[in-house]
Amino acid sequence: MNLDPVIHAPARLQIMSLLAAATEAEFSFVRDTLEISDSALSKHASSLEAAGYIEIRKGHVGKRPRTWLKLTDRGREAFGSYVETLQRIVGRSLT
Amino acid sequence: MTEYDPAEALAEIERTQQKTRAEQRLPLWYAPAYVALLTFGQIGMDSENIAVNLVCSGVAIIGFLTLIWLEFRLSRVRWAVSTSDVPAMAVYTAWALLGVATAIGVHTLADGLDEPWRKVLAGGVTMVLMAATTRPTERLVLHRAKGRVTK
Repeated sequence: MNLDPVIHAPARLQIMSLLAAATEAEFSFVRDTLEISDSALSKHASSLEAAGYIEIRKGHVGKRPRTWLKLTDRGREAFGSYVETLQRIVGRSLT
Repeated sequence: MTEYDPAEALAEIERTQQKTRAEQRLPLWYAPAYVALLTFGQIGMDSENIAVNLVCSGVAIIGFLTLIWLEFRLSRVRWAVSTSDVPAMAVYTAWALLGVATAIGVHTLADGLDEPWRKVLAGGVTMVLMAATTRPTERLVLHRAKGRVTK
């Protein structure tokens, strides 16, 4: 059974896991929760965006710029399949 | 970072999602602010002057809407509806009912006081209770979410 290599990298797996639990999350929230640098998050978020798994949206709160990350439908589907594959391999279900 | 084996990957997903839930907490003033607005509205409704009734109700309603707007604007993560499970909703509902029961109970017990002080006392006690129980309630919800993976 093949695991999606785009998701299986540790940092990207954490980003996908976080976003799977949310409708969308602010860039700084993802960075602080996962304890990774801005540049590392940007790099991995760009890879996930290029794969069509996440959407990066820029906006403002007052005058403060904010960047939001969210899973696309394709990303949610890929993450669901990834988790199901893991559960089949490990032979247990967490949900 | 090296790649995870499947068991580690599953554990990491669970750990990350649990940490995400733990990172997003309600401000401690949030639930007491609802109680304060409700108390204010109730006191206003006691007046026999219709203008006072309308102004106090209007202020309370605008306050509720402002709190909802603030939560939406200040929140750094927006939860998917599918991540809210029944036990978590049950805990939050029980928490809200605890607040209502406390307000009614204190108001009933304080029958030696005149209005509006009975309502002020009931509202004040409920505000303190809601502030004091915000974090324990969140911890209980987190505890119940252990072992759960959202796909």
